[in-house]
Amino acid sequence: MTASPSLPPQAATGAAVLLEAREVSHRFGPTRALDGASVQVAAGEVLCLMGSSGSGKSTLLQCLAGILRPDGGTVRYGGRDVHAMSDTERSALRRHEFGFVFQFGQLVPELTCLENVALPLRLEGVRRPEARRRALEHLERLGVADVAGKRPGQVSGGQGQRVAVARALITRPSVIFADEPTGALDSLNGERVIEALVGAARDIGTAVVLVTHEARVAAYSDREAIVRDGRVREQVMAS
Amino acid sequence: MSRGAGRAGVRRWLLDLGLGVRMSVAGGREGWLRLLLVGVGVSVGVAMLLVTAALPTLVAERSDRADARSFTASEPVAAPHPGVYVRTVASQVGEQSFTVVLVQPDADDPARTPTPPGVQRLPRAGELVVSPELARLLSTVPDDELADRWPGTVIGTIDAAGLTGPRELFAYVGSDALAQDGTAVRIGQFGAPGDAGGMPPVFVLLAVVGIAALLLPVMVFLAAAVRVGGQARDRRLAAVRLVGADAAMIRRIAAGETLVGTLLGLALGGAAFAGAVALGAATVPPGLSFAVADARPVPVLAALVVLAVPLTAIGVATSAMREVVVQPLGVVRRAADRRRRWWWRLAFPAVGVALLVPLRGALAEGANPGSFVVYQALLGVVALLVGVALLLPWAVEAVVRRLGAGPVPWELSVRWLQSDAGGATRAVTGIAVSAAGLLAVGGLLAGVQAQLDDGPAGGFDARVLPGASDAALGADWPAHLSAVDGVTSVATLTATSARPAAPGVRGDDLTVTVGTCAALAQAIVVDDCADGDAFVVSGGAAPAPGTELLVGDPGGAPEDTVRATVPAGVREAAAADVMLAPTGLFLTPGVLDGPVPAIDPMQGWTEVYAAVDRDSSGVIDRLRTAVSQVDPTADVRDIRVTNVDRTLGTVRQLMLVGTVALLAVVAASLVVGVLDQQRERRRIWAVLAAFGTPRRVLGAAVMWQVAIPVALGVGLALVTGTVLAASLQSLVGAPLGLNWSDLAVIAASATGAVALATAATLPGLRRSTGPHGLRAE
Repeated sequence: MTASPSLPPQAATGAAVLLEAREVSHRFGPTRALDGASVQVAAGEVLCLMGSSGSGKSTLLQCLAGILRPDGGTVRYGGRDVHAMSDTERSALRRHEFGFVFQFGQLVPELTCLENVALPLRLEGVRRPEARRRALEHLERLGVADVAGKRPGQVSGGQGQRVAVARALITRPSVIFADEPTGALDSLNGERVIEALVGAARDIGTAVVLVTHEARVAAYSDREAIVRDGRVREQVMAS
Repeated sequence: MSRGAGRAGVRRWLLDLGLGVRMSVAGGREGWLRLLLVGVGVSVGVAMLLVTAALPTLVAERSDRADARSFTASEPVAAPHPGVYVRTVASQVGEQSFTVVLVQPDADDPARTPTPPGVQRLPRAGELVVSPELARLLSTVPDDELADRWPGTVIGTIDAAGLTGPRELFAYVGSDALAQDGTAVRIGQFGAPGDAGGMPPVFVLLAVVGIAALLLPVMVFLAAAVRVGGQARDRRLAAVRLVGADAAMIRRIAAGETLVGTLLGLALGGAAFAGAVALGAATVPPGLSFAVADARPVPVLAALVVLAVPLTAIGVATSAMREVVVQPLGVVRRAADRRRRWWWRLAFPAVGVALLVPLRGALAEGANPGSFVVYQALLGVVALLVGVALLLPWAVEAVVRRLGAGPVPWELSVRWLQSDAGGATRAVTGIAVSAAGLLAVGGLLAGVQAQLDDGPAGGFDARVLPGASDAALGADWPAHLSAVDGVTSVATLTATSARPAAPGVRGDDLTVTVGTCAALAQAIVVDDCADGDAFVVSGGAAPAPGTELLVGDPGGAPEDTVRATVPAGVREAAAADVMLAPTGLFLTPGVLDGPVPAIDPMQGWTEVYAAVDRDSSGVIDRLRTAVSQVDPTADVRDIRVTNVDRTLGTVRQLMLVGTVALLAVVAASLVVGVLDQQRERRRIWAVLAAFGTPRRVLGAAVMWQVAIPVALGVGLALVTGTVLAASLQSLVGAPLGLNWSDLAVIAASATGAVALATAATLPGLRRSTGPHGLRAE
C-alpha cells in the first residue's frame, strides 16, 4: 500500500463518481459525529472507511446510504441529492441500488435464510417461486445453501453474515454498504466473509463502502479513507 | 389511475400484507407463542363483544315466549265463549323467585279450553303442570317447604315453548276457587303483545352504565392485546426497512402481521363465546335461565364484531406505529422526551361531571325523563370512564418520574417503568376503567337499594299480602301461621274505614289502620307505644278525644263493625313507609271493643307480619307453604332479603356475571401484558442473573413493576368511581354513600391480579436465569 496524504477526497480509480458526500456534518445531541466530512465513491470501487471508535465512520456510512439525514452538507448518488428525495424514493433507492451487510447481519429473525435473501425481490414484487430460485442460487454461490431452510438464530455467525452478503447482492446493487461485517466473527470466518463479499461485488461491478478498524479487512479494498474527529483526514490507495 | 396501475397497486398491497402474514406465522416456538398471546387476548374481547351482541336476541326470545303465555293484555271473555280463569301468584323457594299461574278451565268442554304454549292440557283443581326445574325441586325440597303449597298431582311438565329458559321455575296450578275470586280474570286465549311500557328509567340507566363499564375495558384490552410483541415487531420491521421497504409498505406489513393474530382471536373468540353460552346456560340462576339456542348474536352486530375487531386491531397497530419512526437501523420513538400533558385529559372527566350534575333527580322515583336524559347520562358516564383511561398514563408517568431510589427490586422496577411506562399502563388501564365502572354501578345499586330498604323491619321477617279470595277474607292468620315450625310471632295490620257512631254527626269516613305497636311500626314511626294508644299521621286531623267510632264497614250490617273510642292524647307520627302512603288514624287493638271484622277487599286491606327464628332451616319456605294453604293467591315477601325490588335483584345478578367476566378479562390482560414484557426482558434478566442477582430480587422487581401501576390505577378508579357513583345516586334521587363491599372486592381483585401476573412470570424468570437460559441469552 502507498500512503497518499495529499490525495483529494475523491475517487481515485479513474471511474465515474457514483456516490459523493460533500462537507457532511451530523450531531447526536451535544456530540458532533461528523464535521464536514467529504468523500467520493466510484462505480465498482471498494472503499474502506477506517478510524478509531467514535471517529464517525459508521455515521458517514449511514449518511452515504441515505439512512441518516445529515445536519449539513450533501450526499449525491448519480448526481441526485439523496436527502432531498422523499422517503419512498430513498426506500426505492435502498431496494434497487443499495445493499447492506452489518455487524449482526440485520436479518429478520422470523424468516428462514432463504426467505431473508429473497426478501428484497419480494418487496420488488417478484413472484415467490422466482424470488426463492434466485435466492437459492446466491446462497449456493456463497456456500451456504445448506442453511436455506434455517432461521438466522439457528446458524453460525459466519454463515449468517454470508446469508446477509447474499441478500445484499441479490438485486445486483450499485453499492453495498458494509459496517463492520466481520466485527463479530473470528479471523478465519471473517476472512471468508470479506472474501465472499468483495469477490462477489467485483464479479458484478458493485461498489463497496466498507467500515472497519481491522487492517486485514481493509487490505481487500481499493482505497482507504481515514476518518478522524468527524472528517476524512487522508486517503490511502491500495498498492 | 389506469387499470394496470390500480391492479399493480392492489398486488403491491396483497404482497405486503402477505409478507406480514408470513412474518407473523414464522419464528418457530417464539413466534407461535406471540401469535397465541395475541389470539387469546383478542378472543377474550371478541367473546365479550359477541355475548353483548347476543343479548338483544336472548332478551327478545325470552320476552316472546313470556308474551306468548301472558294474559295481562287479554280481553276478558264471558261464557259461552270457551275460556279459563287465571291469576298470577308470585312465589319463592330459597332465594329463587318464580311465578305460579292459578288456572280454572271450563269444566264442561276441556277440548275447547285455551292452553298456554308448552302445555298439553291445563290442570284442574288438585293438578299441576310444572317446569322441569320445578319438578326437580318438588322431588328434592321437603314437602312442607314447597310441595304442600299446592297439594295435588303433577300431570305433566311444561316444554321449552312455554318457558323463558329451560331451567326456569314456573307452574300452572289448577284451582276451583277462581270463578268466585274477584281478582281473577276469565280469558279466551293466552298470549299478549310485548309490553310497550319498557324498563323503568333507573334500570335503563343501570343497564347503560353496566354495558359501558363492561365494554370500555374490553376495547382497552383489545388494543393492548394487538400490541403484544411490539418491541420485537419494531426490530423486525426495521430490518425489512433496511432492505428497502418504505413507510407505507411497513404499515401494510404490520397490518398483515396483526391480521393473523386477530383472525385467530376471532376464531378462538367464537369458540369461547359458544363455551361461555353453554356454561352460562348451565349455571345462571333459574330466574335468568336461557336456552343456548336463544343466545344468537344479532347478525348485524355479529358482522360488526367480525369486521370491526380486525379493523380496530389494524388501526391500533398502525396508530401505535405513529408513535415511532421505523428506520432502517431501528426504531426512533417520537415521544421519547415528550411529556404527556394533563390539561386536555382532565377535559373528559370535567365534561362527564358537567353532563351529569344538571341531571340531579332527573331519574328519581316518579320522574318522567325523556330519552335525551338517558343519552346525556350515558355520555357523562362514558366521558368519565374515558377520562380514567386518558388520565392514567399521565398519572403513572408523573408519579413514576418522582419515585426515588430504594431497595434493589424497587429501584429496578422504577427504572424499568421510567424507561417505558406505556406497556404497564396499557395493561392496567383495563383495571382502572372497569374498577371505576364497577364502583359506579355498585354505588348506584346501593343507593337504589337504600331507597327501597327505607321501610322498617320492626322485628318482623316476612310480610304476607293476602289476595282477595274468600279464604283470605275470613282467615285467622295469627292462628294459622303461629303453628308453623320456626315462626315466633305473627301480627296483622288492617286498614279499613270508620265513621262517628253518634247519630246525626256528619262527616267523611276516616281511614283507620289497626295493629299492634310492632305492626303499626311498619307504616308509621312509633317511638313510644303501648296497647290503647292512637296516632295520626303528621299533618292529619284526629277526631276529638272521646269520639266513638264504628270501625269496619260503617254502612253495612252492625256485625260488620266494631266500636272504638278515640283516646285522649292522640299523638302525631311520621310516615315510616312512603310506599304505603299511610293516612288517617292508627289505632292499637286496646282502643277497639273487639277484633276488626273480616274486611271486604273493597273496604280495606290486611297485611300479616311474621317474625321467625332465622336459625330454623327453611322456615320462610314453610311459612310460604302455610300461607298458600290458606290463600293460594297470597304474596309472601322476605323482608330481610327481598326488600330490594325483584328487578333490581336481576340487574345485580347480571352485573355479578358481568363483573366476573370482566375481572377474568382484566386478569388475562395483565398476564398477557406481563408475559409480553417478560419476553422482551429475558436477556436483561439473564445478564442480571449472570452477575449474581438472586431470583427473588428479580421476582420482587417484577412484582413492583406490576403493583405500582395497578395501585395508581385503582387509586384513580376509586376517585372517579366515587364521583360517578355519587353523580348517579343524585341522578336517581338516592342517598349518597359508598359501597364498601365493592371497594373491598376491587382491592382484593387488584391484589389478586398482581399476584397472578407475578406468578405467571416466575416460570419464565426461572428459565431465563437458569444455566440454559444464561447460555442461550
